[in-house]
Amino acid sequence: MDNQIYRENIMDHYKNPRNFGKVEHNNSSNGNNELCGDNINFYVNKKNNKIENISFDGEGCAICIASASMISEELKNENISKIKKINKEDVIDMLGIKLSPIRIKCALLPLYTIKNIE
Amino acid sequence: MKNEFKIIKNITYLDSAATTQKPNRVINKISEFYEKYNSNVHRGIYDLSIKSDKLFENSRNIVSRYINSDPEEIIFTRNTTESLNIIANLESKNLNKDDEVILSISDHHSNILPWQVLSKKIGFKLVFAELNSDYQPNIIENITNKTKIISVSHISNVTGKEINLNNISNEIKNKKIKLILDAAQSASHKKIDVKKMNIDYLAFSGHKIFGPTGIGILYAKKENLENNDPLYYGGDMIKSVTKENFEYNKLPNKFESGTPNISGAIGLGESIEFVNEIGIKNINKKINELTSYAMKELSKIKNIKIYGGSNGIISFNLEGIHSHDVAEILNQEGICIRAGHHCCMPLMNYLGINSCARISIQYYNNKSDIDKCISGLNKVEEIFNG
Repeated sequence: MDNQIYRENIMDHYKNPRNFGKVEHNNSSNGNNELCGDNINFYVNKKNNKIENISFDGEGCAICIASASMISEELKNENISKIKKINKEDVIDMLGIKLSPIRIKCALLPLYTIKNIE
Repeated sequence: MKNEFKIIKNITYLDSAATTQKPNRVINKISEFYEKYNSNVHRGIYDLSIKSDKLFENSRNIVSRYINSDPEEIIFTRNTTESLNIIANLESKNLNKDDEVILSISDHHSNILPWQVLSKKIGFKLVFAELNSDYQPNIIENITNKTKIISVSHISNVTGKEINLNNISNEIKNKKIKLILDAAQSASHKKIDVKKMNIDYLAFSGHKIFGPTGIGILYAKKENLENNDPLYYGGDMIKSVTKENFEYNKLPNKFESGTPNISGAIGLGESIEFVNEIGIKNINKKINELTSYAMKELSKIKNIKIYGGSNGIISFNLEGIHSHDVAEILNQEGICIRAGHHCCMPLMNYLGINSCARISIQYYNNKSDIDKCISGLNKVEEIFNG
């Protein structure tokens, strides 16, 4: 059986998360999944309706961290309205893996967290 | 042994602390009940109902012999959680705001929440025994002259540590302290004698002792049942009813209103007979041997942190790897383990972790299961750190 969930790009984002840390920001949000202890913070610097900078920190499994990392890449330098637009299917597409109902929660925690950015 | 448990023929099942697999004879016994004896218990005039009633009450006798109680002290419930909730409710009228109730920080949520809710209502103090360096809760050290109740897990579902029941029992012998035991993790392989240990209440689940889900046991000393009102009212639990009043039925019926889980109780009786035939000491011995072997092999994995590890239950983390990732990769190898907070969030907090992975071993496991798990864990290391 192959470990298709843990394919190279997921492990790459997990081991070297993009935009990891706490950048200067004027907006932030926190989300956590009590069931597994995943905890994600997003930091966003908005300027003229644009996401001028974005970063995240926290703890999570490989799927959760990879998802947060990919979301941050996707949103950087985009219009703020993209936060509203980005959806579940986008995140699943970005990850490119098949997830069980339990693990989908790990993948979507960063999405729900970023959606709380005002 | 795996022939008796068809479901695990082709998988490595190491999650018996969550639920044990069921031997064929238990499954067959339940089928047989529905095929040959199905009818409601109590007050049946016809032969079928009398047989059903006999099987049901025989199961109660099996349970009572298993823990050395009287049959009327055995109440069938849904599970350990329901039993513990009933116990807390029965004891609520005996508690006041100056009292103290001792729990352990390693207890399952089901033994913490009922007391937490009561404590908020009544105002008594909840005292959490902390763990020593060997993950043992320091129960006795927390006893004061205000202690009214000690309610603890016999074996922790995370650390696997067994409390020293004899010491606690001796310590409170001449004090007015009630001892409540959550035996969910111990009932399948530790001999419990409620009379000898002077246990006031005991709770365990059928499904963790090779029996079906949906059936649990509440043992209570007779006086605790005689002097208390039940939680539920309705059929079976009364002797007579008028428009204005009623008279309670005898024990244990007073505490079992409505049609009970008849097939569940019969299945549980059969699962205890299964344990009795193997011998509880033999089950314990095998679990301990496999635990020692697993501990030895696990400790060879670098970056592993084990939280206790005893009595068939070993919880751990691999540094830098989330427990869900560990369980996911093992799943791809056909190995079933559990990961998360194991309904022990206060313990996770106390240990300074968010979650951990847990393997749990039963009589039907063998060394090859452990070996497969170890090689799976090496694969996890390889994927994450290779």
